[in-house]
Amino acid sequence: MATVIQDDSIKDFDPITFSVIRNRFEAIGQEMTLAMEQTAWTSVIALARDYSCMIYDAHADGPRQVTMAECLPIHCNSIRELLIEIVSVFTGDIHDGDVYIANDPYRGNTHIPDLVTAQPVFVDGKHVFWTVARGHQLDCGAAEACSIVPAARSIFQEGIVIPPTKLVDRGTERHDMVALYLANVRYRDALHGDLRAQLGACGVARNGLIELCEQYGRDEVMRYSDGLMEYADHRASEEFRNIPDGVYEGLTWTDTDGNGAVDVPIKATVTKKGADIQVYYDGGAPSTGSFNATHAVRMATSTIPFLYYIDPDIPHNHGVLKHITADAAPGTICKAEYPAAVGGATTNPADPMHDVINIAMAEAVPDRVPAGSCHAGHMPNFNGIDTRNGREWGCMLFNSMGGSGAAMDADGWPMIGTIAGMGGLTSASVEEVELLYPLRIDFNEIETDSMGAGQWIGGVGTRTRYRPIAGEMEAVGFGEGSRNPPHGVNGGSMSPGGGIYIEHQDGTRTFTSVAGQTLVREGESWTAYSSGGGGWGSPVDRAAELVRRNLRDGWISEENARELFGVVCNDDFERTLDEPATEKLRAELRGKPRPMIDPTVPGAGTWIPRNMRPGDRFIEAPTIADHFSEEAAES
Amino acid sequence: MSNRIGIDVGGTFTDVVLLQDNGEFLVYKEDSTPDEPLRAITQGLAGIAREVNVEVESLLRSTEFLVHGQTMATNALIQRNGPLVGLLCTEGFRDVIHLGRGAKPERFNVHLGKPEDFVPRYLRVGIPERTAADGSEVKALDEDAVREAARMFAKHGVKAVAIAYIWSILDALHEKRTAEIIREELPDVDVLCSSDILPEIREWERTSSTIVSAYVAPIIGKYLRAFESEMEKGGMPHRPLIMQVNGGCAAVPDLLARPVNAVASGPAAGPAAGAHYAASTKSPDRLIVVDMGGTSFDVCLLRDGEPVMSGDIKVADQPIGVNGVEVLSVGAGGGSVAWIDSGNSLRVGPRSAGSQPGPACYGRGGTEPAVTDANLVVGRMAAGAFLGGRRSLDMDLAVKAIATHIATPLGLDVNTAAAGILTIVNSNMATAIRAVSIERGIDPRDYVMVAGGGAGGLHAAELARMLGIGEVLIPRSAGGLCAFGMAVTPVRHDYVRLSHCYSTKPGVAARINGVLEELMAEGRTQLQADGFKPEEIGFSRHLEGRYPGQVHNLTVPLAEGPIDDAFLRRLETDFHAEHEKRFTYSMRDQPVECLHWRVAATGSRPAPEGRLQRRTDGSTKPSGQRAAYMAAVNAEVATDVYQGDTLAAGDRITGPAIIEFATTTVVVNPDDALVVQADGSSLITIGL
Repeated sequence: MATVIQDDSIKDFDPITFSVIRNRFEAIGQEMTLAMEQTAWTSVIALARDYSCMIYDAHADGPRQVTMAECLPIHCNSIRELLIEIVSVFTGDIHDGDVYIANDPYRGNTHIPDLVTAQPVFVDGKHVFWTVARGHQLDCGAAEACSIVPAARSIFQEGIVIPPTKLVDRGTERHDMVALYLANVRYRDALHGDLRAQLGACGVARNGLIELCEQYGRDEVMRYSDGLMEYADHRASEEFRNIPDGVYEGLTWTDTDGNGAVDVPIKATVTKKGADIQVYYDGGAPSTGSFNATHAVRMATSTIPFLYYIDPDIPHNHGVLKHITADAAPGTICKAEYPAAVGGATTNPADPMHDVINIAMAEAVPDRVPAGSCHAGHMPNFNGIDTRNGREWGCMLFNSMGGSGAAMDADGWPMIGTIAGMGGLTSASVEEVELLYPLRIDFNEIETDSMGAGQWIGGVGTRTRYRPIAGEMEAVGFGEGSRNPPHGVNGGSMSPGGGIYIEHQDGTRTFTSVAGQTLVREGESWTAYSSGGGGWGSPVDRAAELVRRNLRDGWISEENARELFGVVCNDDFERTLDEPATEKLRAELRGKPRPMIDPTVPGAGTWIPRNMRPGDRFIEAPTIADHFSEEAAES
Repeated sequence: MSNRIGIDVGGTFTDVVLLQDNGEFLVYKEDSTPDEPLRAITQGLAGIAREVNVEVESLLRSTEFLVHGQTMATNALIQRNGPLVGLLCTEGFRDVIHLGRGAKPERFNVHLGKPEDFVPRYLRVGIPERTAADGSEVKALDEDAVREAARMFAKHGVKAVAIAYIWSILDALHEKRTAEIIREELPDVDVLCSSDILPEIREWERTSSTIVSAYVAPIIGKYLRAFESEMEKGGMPHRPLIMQVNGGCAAVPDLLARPVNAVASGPAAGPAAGAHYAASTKSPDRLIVVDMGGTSFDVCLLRDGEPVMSGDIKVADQPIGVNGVEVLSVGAGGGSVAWIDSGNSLRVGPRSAGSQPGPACYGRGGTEPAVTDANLVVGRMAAGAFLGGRRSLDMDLAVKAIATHIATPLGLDVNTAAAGILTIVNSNMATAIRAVSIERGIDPRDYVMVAGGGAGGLHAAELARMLGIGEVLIPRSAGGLCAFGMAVTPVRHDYVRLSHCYSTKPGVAARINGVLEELMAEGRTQLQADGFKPEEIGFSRHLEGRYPGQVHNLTVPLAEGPIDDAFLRRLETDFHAEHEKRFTYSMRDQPVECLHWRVAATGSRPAPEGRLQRRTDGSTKPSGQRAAYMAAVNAEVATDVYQGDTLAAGDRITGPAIIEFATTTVVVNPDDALVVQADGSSLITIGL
């Protein structure tokens, strides 16, 4: 049957050129991404890939996204506000060869570490595009040697705030501005390298866009760029309309506000009408630390789920993004008010703000929502002085990341790290870490029973131990997800959560919340158990053969195989299935109702209470001064 | 007489190429016999012997190089039908292959499942042992644990064991001792150590490379030994050679010492074929070699005369770790299907109609329009000229498929829709070429394109035009490009050593020199054992390094000569220049942090140049004329059609023209001109 053209707008375009230009925009985004990843200096960008590259147009009503190569989805749908700020500051003074930088979270940015560089692209004297790169900097000159200081009391403790600023003026770099920036950050050589990589990426894309305009004509390229937005709008609208209209509510909890408050509620009300989606967040009191959501973060967390509810082939441009709007109740953790600290925003409260959309939408689109993913929380910043050569060292490591939530037809993935990244974060080689830093890694393995159970199970959590081998080190952590682990959905169970502890030479252990600052002395070790993802669907519907293999492989314990999945295996070499016993047990378990969302109460994580031994201690939001200094030890 | 033979076993055809010392060569295609690949090889050799009127034995007796490219190793990985493999690893690191680097592809597809691990977790055993980053022993090897693991492997029927310990590249003692124990306990299994397979830092790639080796070893071991003895029985005086992923070949025992080299090795012969033919072009050492078949479009580069290599090659999502010819493969071929997405945008591929049912015009029941249908509809292919006339194509079915699925829904006429399909598949291929050139800081305009594969000649000149490439060479053996490449590729052994240092550190030159000398000596010994004389042995050397603190590495070639301080200063300059070229900036005040030193040792003898017997006398005439779509003018124009077997060396044909060869069709656009080379290849100059 012939397809009928439903969207008249596409008719004005040559369908062939349309495909070709779409291809080229995406290719230029990729070229940009590659240039940045390959030349970045710090592990945050090169390995963690905590950056994104975008092309925007220079529309009179404000720049609109043409294409985005999301290395980290949390950057999605959140650059527009910042570009509008740049344009408003420099109207009439934007020239060919300029480059702008900014990181101000109260002028449209996510948080301070995400430094944005934007380069206008001029063709035949007319400003037509922006090439934009946003990269997370290893350091921002905050009170602590870390890009995110969980307990920061205000933005003034979070490092250098850069409002829209001209960094390159008509091709001439403003050395004074570069010097001003670098004078305010640690590791300045590395950060200078990252800045160059970011500028290089913008330049690569600018060259590509100019070439494209030379080939097809500037105005024609702009016309097709508009057409691509209409095309994405058309495809996305159709899918959004297919989601039942309604007002959907979700509730979850975040472990902490970064500064002592625990089990802070996060709520979302999603109003879906026609092709438009409005998200309104509500929640607990603002964080007295840095876990406050900025506008850019709200836009991202409310947009990402809707991008994976629809065909991933639809270009992520303004035509899709414009359908989604987000706001939050004033005076809550979901709406930062100046000068509140916001360093943690991109993961906390962003991770629960993302999950809560899936919780709210489970009723409307049960087949499309995944279970909860692990939250940022096991990505330590270590730093110290190498006693072998007196050199300062520092790194952020991603080897102990947790798993993603299960979805219909797919178990979760390991090493997702944070739902903000959706698999964009990458870890370092154990050997590279040991080559470059005075650290030894004792283990980095799958932890049994670390994931939620379900017809589809969550990605595994891991256990990882680091040991400083040349002097003591400081460990700074951010995020959460131990007390309030990733949720299960459609009858799937939550994951048990995880935790962090320092093991002292006398064998006792200090457990801490994920967010905090601790000291690890030589002879001690720092250990993280990351949380696996939540389960999707009832565990008794999981194929018994898969459960048998999970048991054989040590992913799940015998106890969980029986009690959660209702699967009984023989005690032989292959762990063969005891089919009659399994059928009987499963019939019993089927009789017990399971909630659509698990857990239904705050603070449901079980890992820490199960793992603490007599003599161990637990500290919420530790600081070195209060808990790890000599004075603290004496008191 | 010293012949060369290349045998490329593919999914559909087994190509046998014979290159005789007088420069004459033959391509013979035999249907592949996947259940027993040797049968097709034997038949192919018999077929080609018949064509030159000799017995197979006498052909083999007079053969100096016989190189075989197989797909068995790759297929085992893709189909996951290999044997059970066990892994011994450092205690605490049992899940290196499951956790990988943590990256999940397709971030907005939450329904994507993770492929299963090649070694299931119950067969991955952590052994108490540990070496530190300075090479010292932290924990001694627990030999009892190794024996216990061996007994467990035996119970499960494990056929090969991979051993990959943390930091084994600094001290391989634990791995070697473990291998000894396993061989004692399990005398019939293959045992492979990571320090032998890939002596490089980064445990994931090294473990994966060792596992891939173990996974394919039992399969290719049996097969290649049988192949070797078959060739010996057939009377070959020399050991047959096997194609490797590094673009060169090696004898069977050498390959089996590092079986991973057999993976993804077929397309790696492309650069060798390109290099052989390109001598007459304007930039013989800068080539873009493309191979467009039925389902995929493979592209690779020769830069400064050497194939561009990659250390990030993955097969079935599994990193192979070793450096190999970087071949980018995209779903664009004659069978690629055209379709309309939900936003009414025309798309082509990556799905292919394959050979069953194939494009609609094959008349085998396929109804979806493919690229071949489009080429047929707009006159670029003749209904009767496919596969040298052995198969005819059905124009009506092609028209119907395009009309139904593309033209009518988009409101276009059939020929415009067909031309659109070609434009889009060309755009997809151009993107692939951009990815391996422009994205790597390489300007394709400085390169010559060499195009092979059944569909290469139809599209190559138009791709070249899109990218500003001035010359396209279609070899006479375009249909069997890789088999030909195998016949002319050198024997190659790769060596690598981790020697971590900074280029500016005093006294470091002597140490580096020692490392490189040692690796070159190893290569020389090996190649002499292969039968090469000193003057037939060559080396290429590379450094993999970075700026201090940078995370990713850049590989730069090293000039010839001993390493001294002046050499290192030149190396730094080269590194800065390469960094600038690829990434737009350099840091000239920084030293180079050196990581891996690589030596490739090659042994080769010059292959005879091909020659076409007929010289032009100006009498070559077209066999007919038809209207055909030409992308350069975006219109159908009256086009002369020539038969490839009537061409003579020196013939010059200006576009628009179509040349029909037995296994490929070449399209020459208006403003382009084709000149038949002395060896029978077609050199097209773009835009006169």
